[in-house]
Amino acid sequence: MLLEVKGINKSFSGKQILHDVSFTVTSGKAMGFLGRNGAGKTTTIRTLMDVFKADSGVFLLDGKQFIPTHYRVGYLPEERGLYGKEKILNQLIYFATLRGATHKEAKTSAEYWIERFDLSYAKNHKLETLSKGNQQKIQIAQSLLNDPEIVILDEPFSGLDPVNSQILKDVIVELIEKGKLVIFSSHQMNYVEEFCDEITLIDKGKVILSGNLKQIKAEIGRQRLRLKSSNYNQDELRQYLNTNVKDIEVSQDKQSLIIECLNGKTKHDLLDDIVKNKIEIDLFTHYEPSLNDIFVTKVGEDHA
Amino acid sequence: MHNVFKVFKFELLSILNKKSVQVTTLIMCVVVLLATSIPTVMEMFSNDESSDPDNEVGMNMDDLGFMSKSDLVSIESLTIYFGDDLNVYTDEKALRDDVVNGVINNGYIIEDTQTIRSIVQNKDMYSSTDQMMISVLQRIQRDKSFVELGIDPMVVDTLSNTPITLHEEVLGKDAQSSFLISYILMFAVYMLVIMYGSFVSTSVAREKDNRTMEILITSTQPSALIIGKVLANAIGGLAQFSVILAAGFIGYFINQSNYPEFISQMLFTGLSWDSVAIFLIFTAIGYLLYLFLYASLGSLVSKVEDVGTSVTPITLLFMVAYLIASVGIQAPTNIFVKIGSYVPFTAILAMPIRYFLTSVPLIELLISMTLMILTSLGLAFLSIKIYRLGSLSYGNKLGFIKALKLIFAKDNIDL
Repeated sequence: MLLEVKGINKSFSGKQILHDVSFTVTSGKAMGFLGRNGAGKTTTIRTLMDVFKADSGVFLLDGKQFIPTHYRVGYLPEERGLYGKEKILNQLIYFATLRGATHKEAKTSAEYWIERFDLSYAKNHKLETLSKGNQQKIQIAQSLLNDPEIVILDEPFSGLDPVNSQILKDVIVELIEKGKLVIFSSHQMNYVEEFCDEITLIDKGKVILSGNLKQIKAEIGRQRLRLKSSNYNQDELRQYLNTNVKDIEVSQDKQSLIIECLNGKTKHDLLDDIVKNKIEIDLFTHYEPSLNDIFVTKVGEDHA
Repeated sequence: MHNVFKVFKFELLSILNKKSVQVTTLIMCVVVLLATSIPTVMEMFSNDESSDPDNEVGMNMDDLGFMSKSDLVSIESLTIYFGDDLNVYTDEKALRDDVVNGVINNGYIIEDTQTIRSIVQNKDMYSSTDQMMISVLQRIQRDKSFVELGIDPMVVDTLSNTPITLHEEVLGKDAQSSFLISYILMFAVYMLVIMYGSFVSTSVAREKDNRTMEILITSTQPSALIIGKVLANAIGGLAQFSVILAAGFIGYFINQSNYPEFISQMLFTGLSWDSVAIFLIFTAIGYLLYLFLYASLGSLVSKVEDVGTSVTPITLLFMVAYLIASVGIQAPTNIFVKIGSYVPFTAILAMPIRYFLTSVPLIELLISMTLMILTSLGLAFLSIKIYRLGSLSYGNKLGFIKALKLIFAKDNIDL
């Protein structure tokens, strides 16, 4: 399945929140929808889920208009909420049947996910008696009922401890393997990087980057190299290069210096310079930016 | 429509499983059982008192003292009415002292043929002896005058007490016999609407409060949610009410023998099948009408604690309906009652009351019923729209008028 989001605009009381938001998601790949707080992630997802009507733009699934209730869609809203005074199993069965499952199917599905999230002991407890993290797991379980074809998770990792985050990551990986169409939003880049194939970066209601994560990394990393020396420490080396080598821009992170070749300078030219200057190479390799770097760079550029 | 039933089932079970609902029902049943046993309890107490043999006028003559200062009214003439064992005083001071010391409760001094003085230490709220003294004195005067005119007072008594029999034939409705049952039913409907109305608005607002709404509206249609919810609360309310009503009937039948004859008569002679049918139809439609109204206003708020203030206008509206119906019980042909029986918001009580107490043409019933059904449908539509609109505006309480404007100004809400 191919979900296309095309030119979505949305305003609230005259203030435009989304500007021509467009991206595509294919099934079997997880799409990370990234942005800072207030960037427009939740608004985009809500318009996609038809909670809000978009002012303009279309959502297409395999070329046809996408109407969420016509498909098996699992949705975890950003505003978490379930019935606090209702037994967990009961309400999960209720939500599943509302989406079209028979009572038997609903029960099987609800029990499976309760078990999967290690909460079988509490299935007949009222939701409000659970800890916040466990309530969060029930919320996620709710979005996975009925074997959905499309799973949309708004900030699924917020509020989860590392152990539960790992359980959720495993679940998402499993969904991808099963060929589901998965969209999830996050501002926690480290979680996303591990299993995200595609990313869409949104800032101030505009998509500033969208595509395959590997390609994006390669593109941004092109013409940049990592360099580490055994006879200079990082600061000394940076200073040395700045004064002695032309046509480069030097930056650094914790791991090494990051050198970008400018004005047509090639990697070979740079290597010659290094050898000439008798710098003992400890590390000389391609630079591949982390998602966090991309995020900071891109959002930073946009702000500049 | 299939989802309406799912929502209905879930909501109804959650209502019936609520501890607070179960406990309230139980308490109400006990209260009703106790209330219906009141005549039995009263009977038990009155039995104790009636064992005390009283004299012919039903007063304890030991508590009264008499003294006559008039030659025209002798103490002896009083004995005809009060019996022979009278406490007779010749000295006013002695009588006063006995009143002060509590030997007697009440002393009467006859000043002349037209004046009596009553001397009492503590006056009871209800004392019939004063009135009795006045009539006795009047009677003595009357008899004396008759004798002077040569007429036997006994003959006058016999003549003025000729028994007359009234055979009544009520062709329409008998307001007297329907009075009690009308009142009970009106009160029952009042309680039903007020109680379950606020249940509906709370249950609608709760989903916004606990943020379940976003999951719900992305899972099914808002119409299924609202209609299912309203029906569940309606049926839940009726179920609870029926249990309480059943307790009332059980209580009545257990204690039936101790009820005064006229109450039993008033309870059941006013009930005919057609009036029961009219009552049930109007109550059912009106009940749903009000529940949808409550659902609309419940959708306006996003916090459960705001429900109270939001639904106040409906409570006031329904109190107007109640007042009109109360007037109707006293004067069923009153013009306000007639108008009220057409206005959908007041017809729920006014029309059955009118039907119980007077004859209402079929066409009037049909017009009123149609108006109510149309209004209910309109309100159902409105409550669904507001519910959907409400999901878009978390936070501030949405005004009713503003919500209407938003709904009709721009059709940006897809149901």
